[in-house]
Amino acid sequence: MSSIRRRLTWGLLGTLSILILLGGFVLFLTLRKVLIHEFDLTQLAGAEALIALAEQELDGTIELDLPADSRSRFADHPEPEYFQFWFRDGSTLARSQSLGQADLTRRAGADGEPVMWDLELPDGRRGRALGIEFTPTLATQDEDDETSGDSLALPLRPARLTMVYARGRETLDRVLRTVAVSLAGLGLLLPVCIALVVRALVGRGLSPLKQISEEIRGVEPDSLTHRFTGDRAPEEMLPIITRLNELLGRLEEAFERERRFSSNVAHELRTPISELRTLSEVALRSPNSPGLAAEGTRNCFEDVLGIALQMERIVTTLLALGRAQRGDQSLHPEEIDLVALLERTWQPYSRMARQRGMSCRFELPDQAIVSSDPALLASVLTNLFSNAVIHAPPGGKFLCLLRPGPNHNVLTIANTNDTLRQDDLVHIFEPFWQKDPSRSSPDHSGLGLATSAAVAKLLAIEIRVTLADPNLLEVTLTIP
Amino acid sequence: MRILLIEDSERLRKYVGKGLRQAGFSVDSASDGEEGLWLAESNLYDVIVLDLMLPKLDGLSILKQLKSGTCQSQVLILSAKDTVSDRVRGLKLGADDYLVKPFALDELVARVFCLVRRHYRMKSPTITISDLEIDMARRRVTRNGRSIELPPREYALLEYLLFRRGEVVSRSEIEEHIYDERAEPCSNVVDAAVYSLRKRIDPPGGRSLIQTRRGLGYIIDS
Repeated sequence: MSSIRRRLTWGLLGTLSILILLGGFVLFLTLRKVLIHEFDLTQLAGAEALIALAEQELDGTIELDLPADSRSRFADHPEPEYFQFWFRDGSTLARSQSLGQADLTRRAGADGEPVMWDLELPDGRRGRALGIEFTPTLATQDEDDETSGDSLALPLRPARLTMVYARGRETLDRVLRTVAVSLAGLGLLLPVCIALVVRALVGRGLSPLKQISEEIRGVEPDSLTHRFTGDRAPEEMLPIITRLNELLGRLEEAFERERRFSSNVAHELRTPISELRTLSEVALRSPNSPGLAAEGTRNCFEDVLGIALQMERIVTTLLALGRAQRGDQSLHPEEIDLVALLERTWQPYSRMARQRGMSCRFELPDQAIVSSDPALLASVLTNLFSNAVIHAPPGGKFLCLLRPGPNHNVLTIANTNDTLRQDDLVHIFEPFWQKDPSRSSPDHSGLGLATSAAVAKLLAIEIRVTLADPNLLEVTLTIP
Repeated sequence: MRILLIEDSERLRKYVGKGLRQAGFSVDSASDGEEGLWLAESNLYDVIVLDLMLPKLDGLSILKQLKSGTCQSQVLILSAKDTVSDRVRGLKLGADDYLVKPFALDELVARVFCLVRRHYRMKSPTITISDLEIDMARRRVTRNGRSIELPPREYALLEYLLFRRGEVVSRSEIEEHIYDERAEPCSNVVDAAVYSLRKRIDPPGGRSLIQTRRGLGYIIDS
């Protein structure tokens, strides 16, 4: 399984290691360049000191007077230095004693520019050489000679010499080796340190996730009111926390709906079972008691039948609701005249509406052909008509309006309402929901609208319920 | 003993009432919360059997009002609500017992008996006075070892007098506790019942256990 911590650790470790290697390499090259440059500057200073020793006499000869304290460096020193001077024609003017009969490679830059190169010294060591072409300084005439004014010196043609100065580069190589080893050591050590630091930092960075995870672990069905505050959470986690809180809100609502459902089912089923049980126990306790005899066995069985019918109605409606919700109900769509279906379905309720003194108004077109399952659509309409007539107060209004359209027909069934409030509308399609919390009526279980909504969904009918004004409940069906 | 049954299910009201009457209780019943509260506040009931989901006024509201007033009745909640929180809420509001539907009638009767005993601070289901013994659990009366059969009304009268032993019990109190809404007591119904009870429990020619206090009522004492 992928792990953010592992991925971040390896990713950061790999990237940083490569960057460190590259950085170390660049650093080494830069240091090497600087150190060689410093070495060359020293070499140049040494070469210039040697050049300063070369002097062209008035007679044209070149003299090279090496000071006594420097001679040993170019002679019998354990790590000697070397030089060699050439005339322009390539003949050797002078060479250091350390060279013996050997020659250095003659090389020089143009226009008096020095050139440097690596070479193997005659004693086998690695060395670095500097070659330069120069003109030696001219020897000056003595003051006496100048002031005597007896004769004028002939103009001297300045000589052009080439000099190569070489010395061992052990010091430079030693420093470069030390730098290289240090950088390599750092290159090995740093990734380990980085791995540890990254791991610790990633762990700390992910700690809010761990905290949230612990908090989520503590959320139980009875603590769904809990909300994550995200006070100390990083900014990146706030969207997750917001979504979690929204999810908890939805869960809380679903659990609350489930609790209401269970409680209502309990009441709907427990009450008739209690009735049946008590009735049976009373009858069995004293089958010949005067009370029961006077009441009559017939009454007793009528009650049993009433209870059985009530339970059968609940179970049948629950099964229908379950089928509709699962989509198990088979559909047999056909072309039907919605107006004729409305009139036919309303028939049984028109008398009841008259008895309740209701004023009924229909606004229907001559015909509205829709393609739907007539039996299921009729069951939805039956339920809506039944609810409208039963729940409207006596003398209330009933309206049935059908507006045909090119793509769908909009059917509105409305009735006077004196009990429902706006808050109730969100629950109105919940199974077993009833406005009266006592659920006293044995004839209504609160499954009708829930079943209608499920069947309507099956028929691709959009069903909405609104309180057009506080006293008028409207159920609108958009029938394709 | 007089019981008030507040239950909106008509059938349950009918058969629970019948079962309680068979057990010797006088039972008044109400089909909604408002009527139930009115009856509870207007009469002296030993036990009120109270449903929670009631029209007009729910059971918990009734319970709150009864317990905040002067009502001394024991309250047994009889409800389909079966969760622990429902039961705890009912008991915390002052209910003395809680029974979930569906229930066994015998259990309901036993619990009501238990509440009646608690109401009169009786610890044992058996009361003995002189050589008369009454076993309330089995509804059996014996005197001097001899079993005595008593009709429900006379049994209830004896039981009530024994619960109030040592106290003068007025005729109106007896009427209130023995007769329910179904009975139509005439002016001397209590005297007639006492006379009948004396005939059954007292030995011929002996001193009656039930003494008359003229103008006040009756007293039973050893």
